[in-house]
Amino acid sequence: MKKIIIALMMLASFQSVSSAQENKIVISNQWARPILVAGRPGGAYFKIENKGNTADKLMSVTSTASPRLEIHEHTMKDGVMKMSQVDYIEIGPGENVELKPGGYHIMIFDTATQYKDGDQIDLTLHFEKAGAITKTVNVTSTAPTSEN
Amino acid sequence: MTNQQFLAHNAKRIILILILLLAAIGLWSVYLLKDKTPTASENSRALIGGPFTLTNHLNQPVTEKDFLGKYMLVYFGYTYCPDICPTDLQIMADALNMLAPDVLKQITPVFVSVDPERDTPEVMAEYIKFFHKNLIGLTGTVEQVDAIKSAYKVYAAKSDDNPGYLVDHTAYTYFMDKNGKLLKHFNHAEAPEKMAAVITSLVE
Ligand SMILES: [Cu+2]
Repeated sequence: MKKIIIALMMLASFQSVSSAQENKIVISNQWARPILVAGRPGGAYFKIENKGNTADKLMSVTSTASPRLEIHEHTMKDGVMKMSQVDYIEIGPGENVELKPGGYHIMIFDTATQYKDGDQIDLTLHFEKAGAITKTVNVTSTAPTSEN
Repeated sequence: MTNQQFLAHNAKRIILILILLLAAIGLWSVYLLKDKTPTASENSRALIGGPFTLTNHLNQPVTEKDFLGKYMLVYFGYTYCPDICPTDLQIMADALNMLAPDVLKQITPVFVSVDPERDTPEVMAEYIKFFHKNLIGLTGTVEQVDAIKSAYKVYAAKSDDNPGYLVDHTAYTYFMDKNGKLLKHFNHAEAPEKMAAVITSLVE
């Protein structure tokens, strides 16, 4: 009985430690495509790691580079690529989600400038629990090889 | 064995036989369905390609005849496409850069717009220069683009009627021979190394 109580206490203390770490969202590998032709939308990508113990959701993305950013996904059906807006991206506890070409991506519409290879833009990611996380994003025409 | 027991026993057997029979029919129909719906590539090998009249990125009228005598590596997309098209065009460019010079010079890489309303020759010129120096951009009237789409069995349709509409589209890269016949198609996000190797193996 004592053992069980100790185990339960340990579990409880572990739980409280990890809830202190809750909402640990880490963003990495962020990059954005250049705007090749003025007026065309851009794309941006990054990896989201949820190091917390509860699920979190990426609800929206904002940037000083654009008044309108959307979270999109691609679905392939019978060889046809269809792109559509999603309301959020959910990241389970201990899980990670990578936005990448052909999958989830951020669409950046009506950009203020025609930013190019080598430029930088800012992205602020708004999470349901973790709040806002701002990242500087390098503009590059090819995906950077992920550093692991 | 009573009559009832006998019936119960046989009923079990009959049910078992029925189940087996249904399973067999099920498997057989799956096999038949599979057989009767060949993939797009199997279906279309002989059907892809054909005459077209379009305008290139230098604002010159062109037809399929201008491309005969060389291999053509052709991708259909649109410049408003922020993700799939740049990915596939970059793959095309990377593959071209891996080819031996004597292979490269036999190939005309082409990007055909499926969004002629927004992709003018000027826009195409600005867009293609980011990918490969040999790349040719083609666009045209809606009717002309519809014609090449049907010749190449390309599906592309506006997702809605907003000015900022997106276009759902097939994302194949076609490799055509010197007579404008399909040799091979590549799927979206093919590895450039593989594309280059296949092209090298097919070029005489
Ligand atoms: Cu999109």
